[in-house]
Amino acid sequence: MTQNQQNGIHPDDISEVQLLSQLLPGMTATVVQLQAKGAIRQRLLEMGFTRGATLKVEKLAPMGDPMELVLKGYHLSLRRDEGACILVQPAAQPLG
Amino acid sequence: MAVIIALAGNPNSGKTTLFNALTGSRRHVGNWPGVTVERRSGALEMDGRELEVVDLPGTYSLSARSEDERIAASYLAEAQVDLIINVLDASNLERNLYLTTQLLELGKPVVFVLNMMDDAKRRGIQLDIPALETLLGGPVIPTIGNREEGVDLLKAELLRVLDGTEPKVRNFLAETAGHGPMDYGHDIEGEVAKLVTHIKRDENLAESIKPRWLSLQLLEGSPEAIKLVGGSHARESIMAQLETSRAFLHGHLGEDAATLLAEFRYGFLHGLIQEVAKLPDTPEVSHTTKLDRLLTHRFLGIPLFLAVMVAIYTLSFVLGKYPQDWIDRGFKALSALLSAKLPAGELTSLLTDGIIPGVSAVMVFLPVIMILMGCISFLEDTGYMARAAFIMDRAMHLMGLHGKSFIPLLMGSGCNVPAIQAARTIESKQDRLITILVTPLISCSARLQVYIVIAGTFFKPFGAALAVIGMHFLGFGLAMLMGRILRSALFSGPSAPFVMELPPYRMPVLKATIIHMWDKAQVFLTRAGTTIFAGATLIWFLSRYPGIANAGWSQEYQQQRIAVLALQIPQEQKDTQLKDLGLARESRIVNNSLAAKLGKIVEPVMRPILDPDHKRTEAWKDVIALTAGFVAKEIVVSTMAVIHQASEESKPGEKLSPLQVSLRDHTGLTPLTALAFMIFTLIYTPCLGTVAMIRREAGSWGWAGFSVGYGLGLGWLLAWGTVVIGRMMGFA
Ligand SMILES: Nc1nc2c(ncn2[C@@H]2O[C@H](COP(=O)(O)OP(=O)(O)OP(=O)(O)O)[C@@H](O)[C@H]2O)c(=O)[nH]1
Ligand SMILES: [Mg+2]
Repeated sequence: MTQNQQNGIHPDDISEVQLLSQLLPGMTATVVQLQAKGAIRQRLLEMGFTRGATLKVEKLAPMGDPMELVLKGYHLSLRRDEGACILVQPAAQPLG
Repeated sequence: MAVIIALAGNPNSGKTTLFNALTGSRRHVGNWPGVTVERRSGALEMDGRELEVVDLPGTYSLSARSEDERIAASYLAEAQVDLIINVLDASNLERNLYLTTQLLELGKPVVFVLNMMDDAKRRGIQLDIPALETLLGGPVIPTIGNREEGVDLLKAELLRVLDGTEPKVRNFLAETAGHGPMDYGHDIEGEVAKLVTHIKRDENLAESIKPRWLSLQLLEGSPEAIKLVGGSHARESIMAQLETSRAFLHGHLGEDAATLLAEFRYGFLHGLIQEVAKLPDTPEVSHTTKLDRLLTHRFLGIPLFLAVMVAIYTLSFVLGKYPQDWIDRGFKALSALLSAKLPAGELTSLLTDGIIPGVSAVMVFLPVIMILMGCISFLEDTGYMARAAFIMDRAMHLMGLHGKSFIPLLMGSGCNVPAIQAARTIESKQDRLITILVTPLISCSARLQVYIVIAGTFFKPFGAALAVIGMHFLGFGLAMLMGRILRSALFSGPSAPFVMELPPYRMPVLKATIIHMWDKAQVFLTRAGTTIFAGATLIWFLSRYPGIANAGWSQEYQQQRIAVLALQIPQEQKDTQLKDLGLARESRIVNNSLAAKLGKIVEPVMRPILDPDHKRTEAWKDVIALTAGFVAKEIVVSTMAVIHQASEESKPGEKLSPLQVSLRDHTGLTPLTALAFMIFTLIYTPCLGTVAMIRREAGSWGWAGFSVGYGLGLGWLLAWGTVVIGRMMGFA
């Protein structure tokens, strides 16, 4: 199923900048910009969401929120609201 | 003065484990980010030297904004800290080193600990320790904290560094013309230098904190740093420079200063990791990923989680019931023995009706608390708790709560006391406080006993069952509602971010679990126990005096007993009569006690609920029962039995107990006011044990008082609403 979703993305869409919260499980992306402010921004920065960092959406929680990400080799969970503050550039191929 | 060594590191990197290994103390450890929420210190004696080791909450950076993290950050910057042990999770080095880049800027000696070496090895990560030592400018000690491996090496290293005989310690600040191992590039360093010049104009300020460190903090927008500058005479020039610098950097480099600094740090670390760590080319799928495929599965995740919860619940409340019953029976037997052996009087009553029930009210919680906390600690150590929060966050977030709030709420339906203690696992202070404050609304098993008696009296079997279940739903619904209300009323700002690390699954160390159970038991006995005990004694006093000291009544009672004993009737009848006499005496004492006076005073307030037609002469008796129920809600029933002089045990073959018959026929309660009574019992105040626990966990009497206050208000309103609406709909 993941395979289909991967194939379902049009090559032109891939280069489009998206919100992290819009990514589907299995997709990888690089961080383009943080739009969060204040404490959340600080937290995201120190957790490694800096420009150019690559991340992978591992899965969504059973109720669709939060999402599980892999970043710098560790796993973390992020609410989609917070994911919506992060602009990312999806990559064409999933990592590993 | 003892040398102070502080442990710093990311959450869940193993600081507390190492702290325990170093000092031999037994702090709670858990595989769960954010377990340590306050700072703790322990003594370590080496070579005749007195060292004080301080365990701190985990923090991802020194610029962090959450409260626990600020405790750590501000403490580490304090002058009294002589040495920092930076605990790093070797299996997750890059992110762990982010904090390190800041620690090095504090300009204190740092010893680096590469903990979790076993995990790193398992994941095939190879680390070049000498290279790391050169790059970080300090000794690096590999350890496996939970097996105490490497701890002796660490101790020896600490001594060397403190004695100044460790050649690996590099003085970066001297070597690099002021800046640490990190060079933020021409533009940023230029602005930092300008800020430093302004800061140095205030000698006191420059003395109290490293000017470069303060400049960086200011650029990052740390509220603490700004507050610090606010007290300086140079504040205007510093703040003006800060404005200029920020604007310059933003215009020049296109991002705000905080982002730029973070990017430089991670950039530096990226390079550093390339040099010191070799990652496996094809990382194999870890056992954590495999387990998570099942445990956080889209469809199986929730059922599995619920199954785990049911298992804990059963273990704690069903299994825990046995030791609880033994304790309860033991105390009852003791009390019966004493009242049989000792002469009747105030002292005996203090023992049998005050102290023994008070102590037993504390002790009966103990088995459940220990089992529940053991289970939770075990799950924490495995790493499953973070997943549980991940699974439940959506549902809980809708209620204004946090993913981790689910466990206290569920456990609350067994007993609120351990449930509130279980809220410890929520690291965000706001979320934890809200969870603590709404948990008492969850109907516990003690309240169930009240519902059963009342509903069984006033409703037909089906209606009674419905009413009892309804109470549980009402409690849960109210918890949801209050969660939302409290969130928006108390914390107007945005809720704490839910950026939660999901640590790898680990096999818990049984010793740690057992230690944890024991610790919780101790905390409960010493902190909450004393409050519960004192409260129980106070309630005893209120409900016995002055009647118990009335010599005339005692004499009368003795004479009546002697009269019965002298009767020529079978022993069985005698026993019944003696029992009735005892009950009558107690009833007389209680109905003329201070609590009864209080009841009569308070009764008008309760009238709209309990006596809307103002026809009941004895509504004040309900108030006594409710007052006594403050000790523990099940006491409402036994107090009613005393007040109404009717046993709560039904005779064989009869459906209703004498108490229930009396409630139905003599008290004037109607099905509607009985329902209102049940609703009031659900909400009116957390029981004494719960209040003691709230006081302990929320850290102030203020919140404990608040929970009593809002409970009373909300309970009254809802019970009143029930009566009003019920009457409009034609019920009586
Ligand atoms: N595999 C492995 N587990 C370890 C090691 N050291 C500690 N642990 C486990 O890691 C978990 C976290 O340890 P803690 O000591 O509570 O971590 P902490 O840094 O104090 O965490 P916070 O107080 O939340 O900041 C516990 O389950 C420990 O048993 C180690 O070297 N290897
Ligand atoms: Mg800790």
